[in-house]
Amino acid sequence: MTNEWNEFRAYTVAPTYFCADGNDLSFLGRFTMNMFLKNIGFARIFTALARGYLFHEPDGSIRDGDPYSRADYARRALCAWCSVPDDKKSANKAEWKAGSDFRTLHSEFPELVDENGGGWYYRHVHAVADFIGANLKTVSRTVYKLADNIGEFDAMWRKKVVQYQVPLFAEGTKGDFLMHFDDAVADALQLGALRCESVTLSPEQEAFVRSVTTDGVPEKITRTLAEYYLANKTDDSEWVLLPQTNLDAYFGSTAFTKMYLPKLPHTFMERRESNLGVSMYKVKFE
Amino acid sequence: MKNYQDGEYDAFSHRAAIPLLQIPAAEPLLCDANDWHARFETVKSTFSSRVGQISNAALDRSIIAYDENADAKEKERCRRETETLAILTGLEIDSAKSGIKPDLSEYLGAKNISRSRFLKYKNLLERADEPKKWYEPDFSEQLEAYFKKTDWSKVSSNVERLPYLAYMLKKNTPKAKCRPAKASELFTFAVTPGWEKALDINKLEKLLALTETYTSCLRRIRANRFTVKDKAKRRDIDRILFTREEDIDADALYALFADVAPVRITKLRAAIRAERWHLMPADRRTLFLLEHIPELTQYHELLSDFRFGGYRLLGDVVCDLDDIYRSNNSTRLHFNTDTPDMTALVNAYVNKPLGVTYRDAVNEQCRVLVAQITTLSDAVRYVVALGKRAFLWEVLMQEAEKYILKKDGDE
Repeated sequence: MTNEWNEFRAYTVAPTYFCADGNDLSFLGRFTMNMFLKNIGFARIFTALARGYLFHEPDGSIRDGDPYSRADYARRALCAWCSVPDDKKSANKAEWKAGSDFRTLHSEFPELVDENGGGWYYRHVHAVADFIGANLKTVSRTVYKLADNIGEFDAMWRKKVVQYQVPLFAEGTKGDFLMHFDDAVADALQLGALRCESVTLSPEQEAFVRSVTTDGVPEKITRTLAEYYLANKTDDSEWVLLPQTNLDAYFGSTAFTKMYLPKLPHTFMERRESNLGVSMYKVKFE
Repeated sequence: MKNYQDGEYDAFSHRAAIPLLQIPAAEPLLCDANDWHARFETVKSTFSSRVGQISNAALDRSIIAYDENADAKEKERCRRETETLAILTGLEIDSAKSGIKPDLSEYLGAKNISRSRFLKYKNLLERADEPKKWYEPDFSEQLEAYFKKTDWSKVSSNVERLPYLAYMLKKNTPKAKCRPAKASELFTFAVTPGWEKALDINKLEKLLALTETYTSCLRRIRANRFTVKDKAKRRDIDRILFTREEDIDADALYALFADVAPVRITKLRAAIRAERWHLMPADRRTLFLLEHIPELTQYHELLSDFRFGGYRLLGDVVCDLDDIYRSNNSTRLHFNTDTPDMTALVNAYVNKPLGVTYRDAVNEQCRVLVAQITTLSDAVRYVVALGKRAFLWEVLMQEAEKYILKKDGDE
């Protein structure tokens, strides 16, 4: 979770689809069913993508030049990643309306969008649905919902992609908590380059984590939370934002938020909750 | 409990003399009040009544039991089960006191009786307003599917057919078309052809202008009465401030900008978009703020801190205030360019006494204005000639009644 370049790769490289048994959800990639079905967790994905294209060469090394001058380039990358091929209905709409088919960006971002307008996410969702359809006996029944409803996906995603392109601070936008590509680019510029190596715990911290991990919670969870805390803690605050949905995706299932998070002992971490849809946490290192 | 089935119930038979069925209360379950687990279980079972489920199961059965076209044997079985369920409802209610829950495994959960279509329909309607996920069919699709799924010619129970009949009735009832009657069929003065020619063109024009003023006045009042949701981005601001542990809250931030003139807010919003505030490098942000809001110097640091979406703080506040100012403008009642008539009508709304509706207040004032052009009864002919029927019924109803053409048989 602390190696952000790996996270960026998980959203841009073609995944391999494989399922060992009913408990194995790895074929979803770094996503959960909740993310597919509820469209949540995309703020972090978009920001990671924007950071990758603003600050990095394809091999991960840092790019030269002013990242601010590449803001539009990063925004185009997001459009390419989200692209949905037009169908008959959406192809004929007025020119001034925001589109959702970015096949014209294929030459600039061949890894993100194919020549037919299929963006990375679009292809991934369809590949997952196809995989589920072909392996009904092996995969968990909980994922059937996506395969059953894949016919509705394109129209829904097209609408979302148009929404993401609404410029920040535009007149007539009522909803708050809407995600815009502009937000992702602005956040990416603020956060800077992706971290290309993992953060590891010192032997003392390692011992602390082991000592507070209670039965019923895998040590991977407490260790990851401790590492993520160290990686993202700023100097002026002891609280770190807890990206629950994306942690679920990292751990491979929603068991993290549903089962383990409420069980984590107070000796390990403390949480600061709000009714605003975000929560902060701090790890109580000795 | 009595059974009203044909032939079995006779008020004069000896059966009618049998007292109502009495069900002995269950022996209460005694628990130790100091046993916290037992206490918890008691409270839990008090709040987990299954009366609703029992009622649904009973309705499913009663539909078959009282369906005249159902198989006699099946009817009898369902009738007995419905009666049993009625007794079980009583026991379930008693269980709140006795602690002993009746065994319902035979009726709940087991799928030997299919759920009544009527209950399915009711359930569908109850969830009509719930927001649907993208992968769920929306309400109209669900309703369409519900009616399509069933072969209604085979449904014999009338209760179950009810939703279908209502649906077909709505589908096959043609929409009523509005065909206003001719003036000559309604008013005594309009019977002779060419009656409009006798009207004074000057008065006609004045009344036309007044009816138009009247309509636009009502429109303006309606816009004013409709309040827009203001400060839509307050939650977003609170969220940013929460994650950054700032001492200031959203309201304080709005208050800071309250003294900035609306014109400057609109200009600032345009500048935020044109110069792409959210993408501005750190060194240029203070300059931008100094140029646009120099009086808020002590907050420049807060506003130009872009961590956790901080670029949205300035934009959110400015956009919200700009929207409020705009909507205030669109909900304004008085404008400098208003005609005296318009001002008078709007003032009638503004100064209306408590308990008078805005329409009544405006109508009353409008009658005064009509009287300045011509007498109220004379105005009826002009308004009819102009074709402003709505205005006629709203404002000149009393006078119009005098001219109503009475047909044979009318009182």
